[in-house]
Amino acid sequence: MCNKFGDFLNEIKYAGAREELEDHLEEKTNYLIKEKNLNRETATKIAIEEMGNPKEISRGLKKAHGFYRKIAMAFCIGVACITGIILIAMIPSPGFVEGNIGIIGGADGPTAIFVETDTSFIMPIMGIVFCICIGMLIYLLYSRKRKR
Amino acid sequence: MKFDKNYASVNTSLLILNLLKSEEMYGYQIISELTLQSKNVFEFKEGTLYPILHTMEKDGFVKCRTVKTESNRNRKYYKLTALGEKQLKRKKEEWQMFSTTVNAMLDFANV
Repeated sequence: MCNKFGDFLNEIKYAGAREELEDHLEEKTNYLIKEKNLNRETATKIAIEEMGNPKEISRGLKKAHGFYRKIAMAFCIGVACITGIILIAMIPSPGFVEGNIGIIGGADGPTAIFVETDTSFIMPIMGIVFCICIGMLIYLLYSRKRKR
Repeated sequence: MKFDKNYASVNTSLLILNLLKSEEMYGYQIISELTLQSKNVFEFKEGTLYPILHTMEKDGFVKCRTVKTESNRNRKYYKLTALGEKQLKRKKEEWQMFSTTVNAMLDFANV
């Protein structure tokens, strides 16, 4: 990276555009030297000024390359995975269901068996959260494809 | 004459697509052409062009190729795609409808 544009280019977080911006700055500087008879230092300064705020450009480039979308997708995948793991961990195995069991019957065997268990709302809520995450993920992928 | 910069920024993509219709260009060339063709009316911060160009490339409206310059630098040339031509047509129609409506309303107010 050229030192004279270093400070400006270091602000550009999307590395794929640095060379292109450097080429622009170089050409602009050469134009100012040749056409406006400026010395290199002044021409460089003006070229950088006319490029605008590097932070703003960097933000724009990140947005253009779906940086924020990737973060959102990574977040969704993360939440979906964690929710899925919790869900799997919470599914009770058949041998360990807690609850009361009632048996009615005589000596020749039971005529009815009642099984009473606690109703839990955590599982359905987790399921909904999981579904929302998956939905968001699909939407993001779909909207990306549709835009293309 | 100073313009509200929102006028230009809204239509920067239309102007860029229109420029690239005739030939492939690189960033600095696009800026220079925009300034020249608009007789210095459209002068905006040059760096703002690149996020627009990269977005257009992602959307498939332009495609780019890299060419080595005399100074051994990689230069990206942007070219309009078939999708970009459709987008340009759509944007032109939008702009024509918008400007016609605004002009009609301004004329109406002057009557």
